[in-house]
Amino acid sequence: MKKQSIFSMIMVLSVICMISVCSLGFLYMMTKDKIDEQEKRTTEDSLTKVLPDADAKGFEKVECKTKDGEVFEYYKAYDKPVSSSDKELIGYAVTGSAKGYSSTIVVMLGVDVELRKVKGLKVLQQQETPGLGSLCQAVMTDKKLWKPFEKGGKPKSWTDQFSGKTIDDLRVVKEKTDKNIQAITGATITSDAVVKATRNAITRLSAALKERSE
Amino acid sequence: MKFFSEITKGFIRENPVFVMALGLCPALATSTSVNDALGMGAAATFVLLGSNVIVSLIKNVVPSKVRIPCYVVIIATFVTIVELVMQAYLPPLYKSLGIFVPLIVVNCIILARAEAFASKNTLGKSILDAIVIGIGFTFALLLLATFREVLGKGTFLGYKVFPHFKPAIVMILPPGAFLTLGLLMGYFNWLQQRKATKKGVKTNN
Repeated sequence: MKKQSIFSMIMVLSVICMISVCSLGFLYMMTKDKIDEQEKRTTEDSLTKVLPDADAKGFEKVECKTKDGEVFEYYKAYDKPVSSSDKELIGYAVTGSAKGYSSTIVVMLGVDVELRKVKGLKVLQQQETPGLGSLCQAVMTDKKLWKPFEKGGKPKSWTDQFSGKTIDDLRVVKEKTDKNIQAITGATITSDAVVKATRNAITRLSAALKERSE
Repeated sequence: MKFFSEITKGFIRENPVFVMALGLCPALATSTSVNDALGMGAAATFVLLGSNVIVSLIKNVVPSKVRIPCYVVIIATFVTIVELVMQAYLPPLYKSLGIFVPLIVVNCIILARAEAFASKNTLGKSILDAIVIGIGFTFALLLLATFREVLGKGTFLGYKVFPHFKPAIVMILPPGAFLTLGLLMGYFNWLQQRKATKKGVKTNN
């Protein structure tokens, strides 16, 4: 009797697991393409945000190995699709990271060909304090409940102020400024970290470009 | 009349969050915005429905000693289904809910209903139970999220609620979560007690 009972326990659990695995494998195969497509779309959205004057099909991914043997990737941006013959290089997009208040902040930086001016900046990953540091990534629209059909206007984010500024001038200050970066109220450490991440991006890119030309 | 009370039990009398105190972790974590609360409620209800159906169907086949591992595998399967579908078709919601989608597996509500109800009742009753408890969970999350988003961000579903309003950020942080949950729990229990004494007075007469 006891042997039968253990046997039936093993059988039932195994059958349930097998059915589960088969159905999940099938579902995974069906959704894999869509999931990959979504990830590609997220990257494309970030690229267009940080390099708005590039052509939608004008991004070219470059992968290279750094001296430490790590794989490093960045994007070249052209004003015409990559396939056209008279395209012009207008900038680069590259990610950078820095330690924030409570997490590592990852940004994507769009920079001009001389690596001097910021074309756009987007925070990709952060886990800073909700409502304070997390505002570095927040996209705010002006949708009002009492005017529900009014188009909320262009979405704004804190990183918009990076556009057009010179990399060397990037410094966090408390007041409204045209040259530097105004900190988020109550989140100076996070604001500093975003600037540090931007510098990290530039450093990595210039090192990689130097290596390639050598 | 009994059927009606079966339906409303999920909202107040047997509300999984405020009365049964189950699923508190996702309730606290995903109620920072009404959008996330709706997403989490819908995902959990789907898993609850799926697991209740399967558990009710195989209740006579599963040996009682190995039932918990079996139920957990079934629940995990449905949660993975939700995860894959969300990743493919609702990526912003998936990013928003983050780690709490896979954590639905250990949401006490689902295992509790499978063990306490679906394994001992017919398929039809189990389906009804899943829908009712699932809606009750979503309702609880919505209630929490409304308070927290309106007071903590000044918005509802992303729309600004007041023209000039400085939100109390504590509401979207953990202390605000516990405060709101505690106050709502107290209110629900007070409602229950009041109903009980009213009934008591009625029968005494």
